Amino acid sequence: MPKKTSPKPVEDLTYEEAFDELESIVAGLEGEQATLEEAMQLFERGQALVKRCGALLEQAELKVQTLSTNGLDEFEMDE
Amino acid sequence: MAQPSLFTSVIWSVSRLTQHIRSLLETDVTLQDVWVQGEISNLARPASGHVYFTLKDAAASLRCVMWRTDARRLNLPLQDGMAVEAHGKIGVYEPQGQYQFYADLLRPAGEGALYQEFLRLKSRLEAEGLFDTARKRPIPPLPRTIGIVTSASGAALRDMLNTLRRRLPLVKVILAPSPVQGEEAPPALVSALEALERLSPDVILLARGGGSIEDLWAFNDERVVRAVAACRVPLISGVGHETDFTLTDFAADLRAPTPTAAAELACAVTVADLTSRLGETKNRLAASTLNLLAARKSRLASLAARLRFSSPQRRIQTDRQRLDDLARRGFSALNHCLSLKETRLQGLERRLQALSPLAVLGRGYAVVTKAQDGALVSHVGQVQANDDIVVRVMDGQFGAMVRSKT
Repeated sequence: MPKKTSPKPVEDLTYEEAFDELESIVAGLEGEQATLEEAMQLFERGQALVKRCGALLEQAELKVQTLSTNGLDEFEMDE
Repeated sequence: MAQPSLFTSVIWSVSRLTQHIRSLLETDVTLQDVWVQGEISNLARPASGHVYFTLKDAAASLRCVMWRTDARRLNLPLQDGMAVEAHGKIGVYEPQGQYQFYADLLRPAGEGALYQEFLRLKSRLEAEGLFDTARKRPIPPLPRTIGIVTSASGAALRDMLNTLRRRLPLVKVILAPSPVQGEEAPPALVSALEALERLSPDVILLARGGGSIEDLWAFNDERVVRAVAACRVPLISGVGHETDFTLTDFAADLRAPTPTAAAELACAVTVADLTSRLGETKNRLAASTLNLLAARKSRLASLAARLRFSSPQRRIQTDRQRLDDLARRGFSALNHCLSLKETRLQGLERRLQALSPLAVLGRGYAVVTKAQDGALVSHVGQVQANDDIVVRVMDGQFGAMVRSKT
């Protein structure tokens, strides 16, 4: 269980980071070791993470970059 | 040349002779399992589905038949002038007295040599351990970055991107474009792989759409195969079609039958899986929080019950009751004591009454005291004439004066 929730705002988290944190929060809550105050904070953080993950899943758009001699360029597929 | 004998004992029929020739040809082991190379001419494909053609080279020609069942398995379009290698057996078509070749396999000329080269390289690299199962690494189920090495303009790329977009649009794709056929392909593929590897994607797809075996040959190039085996990032190959196997496939951590399949294998977990897993986790979050609250509540309730049990309130009540008890007992003891004393007092009073000198007054006696000091007068010598005295009788008293002493 996390001793304290990540200080990172949920908006800055990648899906994996958000989901991993969410899982550890749930595991912590299921362990029932948290104090009531911690538990309520964890729950709120968990809800924010669920929202963040859901939004990321819904809005996800495949990002494609091309490796060139100059570095990475955005890739446009010719249809 | 010797004169033919005019009176030989045996004369053969044409059929018999032809049969004899046929059996000579068809029992020859070499002629029954042979590869022959030549150029196709006189190609004919009648409605029957059988294929007729002639194979020829500079000096000879060979009539060929391919039966419908074998022709159906052909995967190259035949045309006159094409150089091919044909496998089959020699037979005799008796009605026309012709020997001919019954082909069951056809491939472009040169493929045999390529194939031999393929087998030699394969066994050499295999002996080096490049294809060992123990070398294969697992493909991460949920990659964040996927590297792709393929042609930037091929259908393979479009297929892969469409598949990734559909299955896991969360993923970031880095394309390292490279020609995938021709002389320049192998070194370009190797440097694309190496450049991509430096960016450490979670998995690399090395892919090319279908084509002839020559088209796919870059993926059998030793440099490419070695780069694939040496790649530090888990690699999925998807070269050609289902039936095509390249050495790259053997060296890859995972072989996909097509580029699309490679993209599918690269994201074992799809956005649909993630959505349902998120839903489950969301439920678990709510359930675990409710459970935690319920557990806290029931612990609180049991503590409250214990607190009530050991509360001073309870002691106060007990003590109050004990106090009441004591008070009751005290009162009754006191009452008892008082009534005892009262009884004794009454007895004493009665006795006192009986002894009281005043009781004598009732019988007509009087008590005389000096008015001056209240002293009881019991001797004559205590008074003088004209002394004021007080006389007490049964029901009261009155003043008097001593008149004389006798």
